[in-house]
Amino acid sequence: MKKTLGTLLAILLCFMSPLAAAAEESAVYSAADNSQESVVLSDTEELWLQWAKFAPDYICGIWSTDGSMERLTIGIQDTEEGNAAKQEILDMIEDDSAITFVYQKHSKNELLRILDELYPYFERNAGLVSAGLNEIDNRIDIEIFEKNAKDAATKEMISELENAYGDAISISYTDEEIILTTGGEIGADTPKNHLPLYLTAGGMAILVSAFLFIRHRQNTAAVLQTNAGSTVSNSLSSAKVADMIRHTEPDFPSELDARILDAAKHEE
Amino acid sequence: MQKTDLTEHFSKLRNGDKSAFTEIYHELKRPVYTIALRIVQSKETAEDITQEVFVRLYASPPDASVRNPRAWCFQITRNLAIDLLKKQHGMQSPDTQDTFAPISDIELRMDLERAISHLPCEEREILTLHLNGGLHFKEISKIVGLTLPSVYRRYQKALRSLRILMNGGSL
Repeated sequence: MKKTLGTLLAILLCFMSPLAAAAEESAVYSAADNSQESVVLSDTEELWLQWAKFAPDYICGIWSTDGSMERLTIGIQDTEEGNAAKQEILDMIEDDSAITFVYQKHSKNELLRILDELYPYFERNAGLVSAGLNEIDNRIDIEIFEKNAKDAATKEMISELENAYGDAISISYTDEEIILTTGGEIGADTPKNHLPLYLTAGGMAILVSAFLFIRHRQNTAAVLQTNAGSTVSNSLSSAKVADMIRHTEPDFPSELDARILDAAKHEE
Repeated sequence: MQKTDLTEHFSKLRNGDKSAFTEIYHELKRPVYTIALRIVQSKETAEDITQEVFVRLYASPPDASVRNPRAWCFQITRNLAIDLLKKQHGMQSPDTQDTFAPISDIELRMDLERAISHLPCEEREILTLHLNGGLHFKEISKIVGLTLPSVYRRYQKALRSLRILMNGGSL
């Protein structure tokens, strides 16, 4: 039971950390700090809705450039596939906002997979406090209790993590304890009277994770595939089609002017 | 015409200056007609809708609380078009089994209109409100009564379908 509870709490912690981190990141980051390639585009809010939570493998991250929904930064891998994807993204967007592309190393899905693999470490009682996705720095940020820093179990865990994940993770120490509103500290000494709260929270985390997984599958399919299941890669891009629709308005019937203006005058 | 100019013309029209109507008419007649035509797919019906929109506008212009009178006009256009479609066809979209030949410059325009006619009505209206009316997806979501992600997905699906059709494929 205790082990199950630990797992549920770990899922909850891992799930919440990336969201909190993303909110903080979007508020402070400025694309101007990056001397990387920049492409001005549009319809960023719609792109955000489509890609903010999950994305194909060539996407490393997506976040607000200036804290607003108007400007987005998208991290992609500097590979042939990544650069081709960049063009696909450009084809999807044609309004008047701005998107900046930056090259990053680890795909977002790879980082999320690492995040999944960290769950068992929460059960070791080796001082692991939190793990969260840091899309801007393209890594998983891991926090460990400072009081555990010199423990042999903690040192062993850190060594394992660094060997396994290298620069895909960043480990820091904290003396902050995770406190729920009821005042219960998360850990081995969790009071028994808080069990229902933790069970509920853990259950909710699993449900939300399942929902997001399903949405991920749906969104990815919608972006990449046609109704028939084939990938859209024809020579006529979406942007070109949109441009054609915008600029090939049908001829306005010349006789309609007089008809409408007369009809309007009769309203007087 | 700048957005502020158009807003001023609407303000003048509200205050009884009927000469402002001509300015508004010449600014909005093409997008209104295009939106109507691309939704109903009939020139005669699109002309009737365009006339109805401007007669309504002339008789009772949007009050000052309407922040975007341009969007207001397109909303009336869309609503009239949808009402007519419901009466005529019960919102059924045309057969989408045709295969399109690859486009040439001469055939481009005809093929584009033909391809658009093969989209479901909901996609046609979102497409034309965005591309011909210049409305943002947020505004369109309010007009058509769908959530923002739904509007965006339909828009992207419409573009993908058109790409396939215009490249000689079939849906």
